Amino acid sequence: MYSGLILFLIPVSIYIALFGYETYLSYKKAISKDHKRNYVETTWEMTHTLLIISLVLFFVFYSGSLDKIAKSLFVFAFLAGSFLVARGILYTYIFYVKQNNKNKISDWLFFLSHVGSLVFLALVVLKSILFVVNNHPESNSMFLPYFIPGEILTLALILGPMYVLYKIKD
Amino acid sequence: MNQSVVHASRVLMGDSLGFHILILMFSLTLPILVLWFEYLGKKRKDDRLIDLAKLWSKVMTILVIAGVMSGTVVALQFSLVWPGILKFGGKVIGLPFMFETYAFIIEAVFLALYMYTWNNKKVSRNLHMFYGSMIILGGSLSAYSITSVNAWINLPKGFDIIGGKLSNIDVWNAMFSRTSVIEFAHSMLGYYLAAMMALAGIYAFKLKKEKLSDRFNSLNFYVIKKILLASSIVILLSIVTGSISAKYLAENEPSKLAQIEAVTKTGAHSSYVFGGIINSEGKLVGPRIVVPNLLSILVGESPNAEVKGLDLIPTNQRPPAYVHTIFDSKMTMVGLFSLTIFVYLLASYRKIKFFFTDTYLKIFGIISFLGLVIVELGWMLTEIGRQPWAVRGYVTTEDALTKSNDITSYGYVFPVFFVLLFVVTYLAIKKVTKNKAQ
Repeated sequence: MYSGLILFLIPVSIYIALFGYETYLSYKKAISKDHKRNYVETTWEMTHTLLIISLVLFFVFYSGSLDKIAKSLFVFAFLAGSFLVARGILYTYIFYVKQNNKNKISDWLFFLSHVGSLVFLALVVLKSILFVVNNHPESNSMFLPYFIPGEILTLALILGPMYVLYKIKD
Repeated sequence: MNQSVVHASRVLMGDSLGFHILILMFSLTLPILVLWFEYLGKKRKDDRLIDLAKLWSKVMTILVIAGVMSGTVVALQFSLVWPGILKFGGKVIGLPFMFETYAFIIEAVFLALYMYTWNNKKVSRNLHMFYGSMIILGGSLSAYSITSVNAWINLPKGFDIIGGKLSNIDVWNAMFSRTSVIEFAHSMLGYYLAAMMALAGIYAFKLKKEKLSDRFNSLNFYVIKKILLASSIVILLSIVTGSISAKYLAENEPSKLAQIEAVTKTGAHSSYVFGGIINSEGKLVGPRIVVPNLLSILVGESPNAEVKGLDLIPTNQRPPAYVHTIFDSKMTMVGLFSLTIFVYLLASYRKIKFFFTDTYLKIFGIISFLGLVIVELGWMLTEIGRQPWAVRGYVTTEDALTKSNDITSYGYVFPVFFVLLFVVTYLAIKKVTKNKAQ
């Protein structure tokens, strides 16, 4: 029963840690006066895949109780989703559309969208753990032979390039 | 069930999928075009083609940002707004969801490698193109996985129900059913065609800015010509998959076919009906063109082939009547779109100036974007045509819906985000391409 929860927690924890670092970078960008990019490149191509994997894995693993999970996580998950989309919009605006670094409002909104995403994602993770611990939902353990090697392979594929890309800023 | 909740949920899912599919069409097609032009550039030793491939790859990256966002939202919605689908079939159809994420990782890792090694002298052109081909592989596998889920909800397979519970589960049969293969092939060809032609449309507008006498020697003309060649091949393949899809619908989803084609009565010598609409009494009314026997020939290869009509479908299990109008609109656009492709293919190879004058290039440019609308209409037909079912024959749309009432607030908020994301993505692409032009 807990194997699904563990498989979910590994990628989502890495994601939240990396996202926390990006939140710090977005804060530094908001207070900085220089024109540099000061942000990591890798976020959309790779980091985000960890979140998608975590969500899909959790929902598929506990699909038998998904109606109850959905009701329990709905508000926090949608708020996290809203902040993430807002972050995506601001990311595209700041790094691809904006002409200069004069307008700091977008940078501050960018930082706030990080904070909002981080807070609600953490709440989603917390509620997921509590749900599994308190309700003991039935799990689709038949998929474990695919999920475990898949997750190991995924992390092995991602972590090397990700380490290199996280070192490159600007 | 409160109908406003159902309505809000359908609005939310429809908007999100509509936007995601728009991005998806380009995300799946651009890597092929980028790789093709990189190859052409290498073969012809033409740096302009390499530069073009590089420019398109930058656009591809911007689209990834929008696609990842909309994809995450769609995944969230599928699970949290319609939990009934996975609650019923998670054990059968859970695997493709995981495969989709693994395939997405292949795509994402190689996209990063591909983008960051454009100017790296240690990476040979062939190795760089290998990275590019892995983006295509990852994207296609990802698309197959998720399309197989849609195929499964259209025609659930790979299990038996014994004593009210799912038994004899065969996940591979569910994932690699004939339905999945047909739906995947037809939708992928549609995506390629729509995105390629939209790009040709953009280049038609660029070509229009050049002097008429220079147009046939321009790089913009070369791009259009190559895309038209590829599109004409894809459209021929689409006709084949479209015909297989029609036969499949007649066999497996008769209610969808009957409503789409406005077939009121079961029988042989079924006519193809263009126009009209089926009223609440189940009768076909309104102005229409009727071609006798054609539908029987299309789905059964004989005028004597029987086509099931709405008379066999209980009233409460029929999709809404307006799917017929959607289908008519789609087919009208398909006709115009296909004709334009073949006319312009001929015109570009024969270099017929008349078709490349300002007015006709403008018309060509506008028609080229119809492919995007056609794909959206195609998905609307698939989804609305399955109603009232979320999982055909097992879970109704209402039963699949979340029990949370908060959906009404979010149902109308997310479309605003998508509009903003669309605008900012458009501006970003415009800026990247403008900078390059300068």
